Amino acid sequence: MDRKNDVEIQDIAGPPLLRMSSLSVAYRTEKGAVKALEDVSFAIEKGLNFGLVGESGCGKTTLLKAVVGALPPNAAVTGGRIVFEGRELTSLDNRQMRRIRWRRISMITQSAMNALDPVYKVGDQIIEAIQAHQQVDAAAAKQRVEQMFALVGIDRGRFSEYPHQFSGGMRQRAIIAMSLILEPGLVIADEPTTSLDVIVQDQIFKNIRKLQDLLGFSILLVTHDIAVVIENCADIGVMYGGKIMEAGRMKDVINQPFHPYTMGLKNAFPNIRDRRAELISIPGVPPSLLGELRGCRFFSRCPFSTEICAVEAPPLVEVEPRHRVACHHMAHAGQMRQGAKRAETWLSKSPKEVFS
Amino acid sequence: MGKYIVKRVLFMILTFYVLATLMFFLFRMLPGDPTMTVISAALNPKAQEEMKRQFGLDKPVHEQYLVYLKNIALVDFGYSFQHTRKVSDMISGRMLNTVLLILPSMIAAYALGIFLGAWIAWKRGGKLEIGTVIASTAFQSAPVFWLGMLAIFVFSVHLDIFPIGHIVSPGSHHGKSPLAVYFSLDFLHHLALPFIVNTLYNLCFPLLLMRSSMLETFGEDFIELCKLKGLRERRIIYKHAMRNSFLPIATTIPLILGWAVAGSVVIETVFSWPGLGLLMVEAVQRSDYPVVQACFLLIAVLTILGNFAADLLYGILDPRVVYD
Amino acid sequence: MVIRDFLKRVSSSKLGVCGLVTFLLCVLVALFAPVLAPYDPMMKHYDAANRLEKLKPPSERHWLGTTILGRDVFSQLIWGVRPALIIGLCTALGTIVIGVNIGLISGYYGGWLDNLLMRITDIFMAVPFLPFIIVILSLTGKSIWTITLAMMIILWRSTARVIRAQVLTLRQRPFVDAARISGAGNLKIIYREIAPNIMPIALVNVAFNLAWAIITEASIGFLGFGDPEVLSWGTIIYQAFASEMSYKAWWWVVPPGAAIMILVTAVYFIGRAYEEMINPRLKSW
Repeated sequence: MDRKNDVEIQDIAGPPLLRMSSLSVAYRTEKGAVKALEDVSFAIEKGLNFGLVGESGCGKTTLLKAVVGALPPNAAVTGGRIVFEGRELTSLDNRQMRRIRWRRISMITQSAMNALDPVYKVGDQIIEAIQAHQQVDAAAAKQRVEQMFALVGIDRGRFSEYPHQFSGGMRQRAIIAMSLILEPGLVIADEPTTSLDVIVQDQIFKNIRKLQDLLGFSILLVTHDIAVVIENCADIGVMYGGKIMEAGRMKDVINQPFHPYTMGLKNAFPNIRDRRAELISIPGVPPSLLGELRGCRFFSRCPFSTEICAVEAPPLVEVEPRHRVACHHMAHAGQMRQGAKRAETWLSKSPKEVFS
Repeated sequence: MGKYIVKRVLFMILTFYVLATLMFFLFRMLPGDPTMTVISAALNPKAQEEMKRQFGLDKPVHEQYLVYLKNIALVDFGYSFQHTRKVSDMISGRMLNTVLLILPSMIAAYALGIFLGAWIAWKRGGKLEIGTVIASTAFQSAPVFWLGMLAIFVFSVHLDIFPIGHIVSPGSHHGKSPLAVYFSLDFLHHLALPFIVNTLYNLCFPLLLMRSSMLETFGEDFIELCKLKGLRERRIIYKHAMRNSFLPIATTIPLILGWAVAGSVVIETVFSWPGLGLLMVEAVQRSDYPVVQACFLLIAVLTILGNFAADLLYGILDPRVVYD
Repeated sequence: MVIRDFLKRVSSSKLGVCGLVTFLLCVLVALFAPVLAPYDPMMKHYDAANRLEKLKPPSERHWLGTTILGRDVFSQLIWGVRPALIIGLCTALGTIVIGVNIGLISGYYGGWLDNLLMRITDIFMAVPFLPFIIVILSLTGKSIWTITLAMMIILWRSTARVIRAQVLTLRQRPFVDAARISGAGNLKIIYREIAPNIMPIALVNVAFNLAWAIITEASIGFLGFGDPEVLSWGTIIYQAFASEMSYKAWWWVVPPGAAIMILVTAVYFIGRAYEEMINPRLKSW
């Protein structure tokens, strides 16, 4: 584990790079308002990586779009703020956001395979990114691109080639090169390795961390794969149903989770040390976010839920320094952790566990 | 690239060859004496005999076929029934007239159609888009000859802005060289209305196609990335979206060319424009088969060349095209 | 089942509904032409003084005026729906039958058969269609059946191409392998499994082919190559144009052309509405 993961060694100095405070986003649909995000709060520190974990539909994509100001026309921020490098992103208009996009916040998208325009040369597309934000002439820009290519491991000669001439892995590297070319403060990686096998995945992340040491940016890593997040991030946020269930330092949250959903996620991740351990998945599906919602979002799938969980939404409170949870039963976390390890807990349809 | 061109050229020649052969056999399938498609029945028997020998019509079919091919290669289409003139003499000027009307008009129609289609796709939603879609559809649904007649009715007969038809005012071109005539204001004045009608009619199809294509492209991942890169909207539309949207449309150029040629026959009739199309129609009406055949083959040549140009264009625009 | 699906898709768009209603109205007019037309379209009219009522502007007795031969334009307009629909539908359906089958066979079997058929299609696509039809008509004579056939020879090519492309993508799908494993023969796979899946595209093609056929038939009529026994809208305009009096009698020229425009627009709307259901991103209204 290197420095980016180990918070003990790193002193958290200064304000966070990005702080999201009680952000709420809703979509207007034919059937009514869909609350995609509600009261989401977390902070990304400078030089540290933050992993956002959750199932599909939990609101991760909406959150990312809100950060870069790319929400579709039928969505709106209904509350809260996003403060990035001292500026409030939610109050900026499109023109101002355009200046921040890519220069200060860039993104490695989910589908890197098709993210490049097929009719223009790869090198030219990266130069385009540079020239959109900085007054740099073509020759100087080309030089920078070639330097970056060397850093990510692409042959210089490939500058004038077209995307279809690049292999899948090379395209991924080109995308990374493009996202770092302006040396932004925050790089958002949206499921960057979903379509790749584990070995390539590992190589890519090693590459990214090497570049991080060099250029000093933070990564907001958004994925449903908790293993990737554990390996690469110092802080973690667990999302479900548009809300943060648990957030804090990686070591704290993973070793001592306080929220049943986090415990469930851990179960679904194969443990190489204990091969006898079963893979336990959480049965059920995420809730619909349409209309008024009462109670905890995780209520219907939680093996430990009680009446209060159905009626009142638990607040996000600090359980120890830099570790927050939203669960009514967090006092019984120890018991819940034990119960979560057993498969029957999740599969049983009988009355939920009662706390002794 | 070279190999690609050679391949396309060979295909062009093959296509033409097939068409020429088709013509040969089609005309010989007429009931009655097939030589009647080559030699005018109005000639006296002695002259007919003479011509029969000249065209090798007394020989067996396969030898006739070879003579036929040879003649085409030499651009010798025989003699017109009506004027007993060499067909090739009649045609040359006509071909130029057709090209001068159709080529600029098609280029203008396509270019305008594409830009308007892209612009409309950008202005997504709202009355402008719906109105344009409906108007374009309706306009291209109307028969072009009817549109031509309406245009003549309004602009020539009533408003007297343009002449009613023909290529130049009668008598104005005597004593002038062809070049001088084609560059004269009078020619342009006559060209204007058919050009405008043909252009407006033919821009509807690319407009609608381009709009569809742009809407599809907007959903592509690389457009998402362009937005995230912080590029200006105009740049995304015109540089990225348009270039990619145009590719599938470029493959429809041959289709549009077919329409253009069909349209040319009709437009020339409405405006009495002395081109290949009008000549062909007149020839068919008087059963002047050598002229019909020649016109058809020439029109086919123009169409095939147009298709070839479209293929080349596509090859240039799409870097993914592999020249095998 | 296909019909119900078709209706459901088309009616999801306002334009589609307009198109469908207009089209059905035209069908009704065609069916009831003898009842709806006030006069026999070929009847020459004479006024009280026994003079031919030629080129009379619209009046109470002749809603759209008369032609140069004293015939009632309105009646001609009503009767003109029949050839437009009959020729159009026969061409479109015949083309679909040929084009779909060729596309299915070519796409499914591949290999030399596919190559050969596609080369033939390529050559046909290079043929300028209107001159070609004219040449054929000059040799075979002018009747609605030769016109229909000539159009079909031209039109099948693009349908075949489109269907073949669709078959190529479908051929890779698991359900085809499943059918093969369960012992289905090639023909059965083609017609039982793949064919139903290409029906939507084929139907869209029917609409566009119909539009093309109506316009082309009108052009043929306008050039004077229409069936002399049949009075189609194109032929009406031809007669007006040939009389050299067309610019004095707008009532003779405007209605038939407008009728063509309305009918073809309706067909396009239907086709496009159906296509939009297959591809919702195109939806505008």
